Amino acid sequence: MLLGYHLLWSQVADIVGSEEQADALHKTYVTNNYYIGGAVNPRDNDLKITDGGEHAVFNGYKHFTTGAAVSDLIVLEGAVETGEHIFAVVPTKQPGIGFAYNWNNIGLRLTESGSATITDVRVPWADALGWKDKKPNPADLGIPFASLLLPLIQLNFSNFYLGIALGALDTAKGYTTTTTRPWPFGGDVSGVDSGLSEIDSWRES
Amino acid sequence: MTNTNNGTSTNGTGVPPKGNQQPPRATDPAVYAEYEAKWDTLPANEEGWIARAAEVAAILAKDANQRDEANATPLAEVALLKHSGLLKVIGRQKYGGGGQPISVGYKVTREVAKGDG
Repeated sequence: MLLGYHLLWSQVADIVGSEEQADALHKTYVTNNYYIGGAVNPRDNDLKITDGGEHAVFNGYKHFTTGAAVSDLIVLEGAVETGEHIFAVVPTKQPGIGFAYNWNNIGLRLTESGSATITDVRVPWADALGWKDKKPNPADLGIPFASLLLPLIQLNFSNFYLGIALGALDTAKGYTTTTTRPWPFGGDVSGVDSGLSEIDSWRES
Repeated sequence: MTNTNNGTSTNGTGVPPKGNQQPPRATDPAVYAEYEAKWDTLPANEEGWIARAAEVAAILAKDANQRDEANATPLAEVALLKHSGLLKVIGRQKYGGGGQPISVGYKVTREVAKGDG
């Protein structure tokens, strides 16, 4: 999941930003081999943006910030007073960004999805993805391509769940061919073979 | 085996969090330091990238259970991903990235998830 979210955010500017913003982000993260996390949850409005003149100022918090606490860059997503949301990529290690480390992974693997508090993080308006002159730019945000962001996020989930399932099948298969003994016929593996060929044909489909 | 954050986990239950904490436990990037030199070039095509992802999956699979139960901040795991070059798989080639399409990004995510989601 850590890899999937990084790859997703690495091209967030390609989807919702201008070409210049996208190119700048690629240059920064590729040449520095940065890891990008996210403090993004457009379903809630608890990270608020105010206009500080040259900068958009982010204040508030976000839950479920997968990968953010271990990142070099972080995608912030907040809401302005009028309700529109803005995405911006900022360096993680700055005084205004703190992490609560309040994620109990309970078997979901180490996704580091705890909460982040954001205090007076100033982002130049030029870095607000897809915004121009302090307004959403229809050329970047009004086009259908921009709406791909949500399906791309959801595809991330599909892919790592798929990988987990495939890995589990492989592990189970390895275990049954090497370690287990079918009950009650210790030593008789005929039942195991037919079960395994069923799993294989199910897996192919 | 205990698996708690000393009772401070909220898992996004709406309580405004306190920020600026240090990670209570974190994995140590030094455990994967040997891999920094191992992968000195980026894969050139989709098969190469998926093979690289499979190598990372195999490394992570060795102790995935223990790291899962330890519930520590995954600094070492991110260092391993950085050493592998996988973070750049869909990055623009003119800056040194792999230049692969998003579909390959998803496939490597899937491949690594087989070892450690």
